Amino acid sequence: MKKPCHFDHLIDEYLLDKLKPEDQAAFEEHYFICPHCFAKLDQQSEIVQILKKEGILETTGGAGCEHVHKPAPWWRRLLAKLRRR
Amino acid sequence: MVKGIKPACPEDAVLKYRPVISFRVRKALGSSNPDWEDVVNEILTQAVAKIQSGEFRGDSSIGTFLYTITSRRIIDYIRQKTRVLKHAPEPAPYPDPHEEMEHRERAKQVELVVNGLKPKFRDVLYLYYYKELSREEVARTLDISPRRVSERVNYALKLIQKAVRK
Repeated sequence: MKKPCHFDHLIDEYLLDKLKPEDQAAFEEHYFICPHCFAKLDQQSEIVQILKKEGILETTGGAGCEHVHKPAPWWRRLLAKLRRR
Repeated sequence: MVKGIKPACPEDAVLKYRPVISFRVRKALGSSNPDWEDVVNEILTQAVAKIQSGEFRGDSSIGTFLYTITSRRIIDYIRQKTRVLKHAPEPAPYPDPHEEMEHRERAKQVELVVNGLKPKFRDVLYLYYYKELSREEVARTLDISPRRVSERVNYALKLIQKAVRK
């Protein structure tokens, strides 16, 4: 299996325009010379666009997100705290 | 491409980069901008001319060289557009009907996969892609670790990619 590129984790944030300008420029320069990142970026780009703009998540996410407003059980909160440490 | 090597056939070497240049230009100008293809062609022509004239000496990789030309052309385009069309309305986009149909088809496939996901995966996609929260914010909202957020996003994306793979 091919080792993932260390720029891999920037793909999503780049597509969502969440990168700082200097990181964005560095990543743009990088994908011109990294076919692995460009292939992944190209493939993910349309999916992200669909998820953002087509309203698919607006309807399904709205219904599925009910538990967001209800507090998680104590053991899940404790586990999350421990994991964050 | 290795540094210090000048391509034997500039046209072929440059044309290999058409997809990546097109991607960068569309991202910067907006894919509905009717000018993007012209800008890409100008960049390709300019790059070939620079290689032929010896302006590209092979000090950097050809990818870096093309990245620089592309970035400069994008900045020029935006400057020019701002000057000329400061108060003029934007032209209407001209979507390619075939491309549009394919996009619709893929959107349907994505919808099918998303509808079939467990709520815990849908919630993460909803908050991350639709609400555009950061991974940390999603983690706090759902009371899970940021690592778990990444795992859920990656799992859902893999399923979607499998369904829409061309």
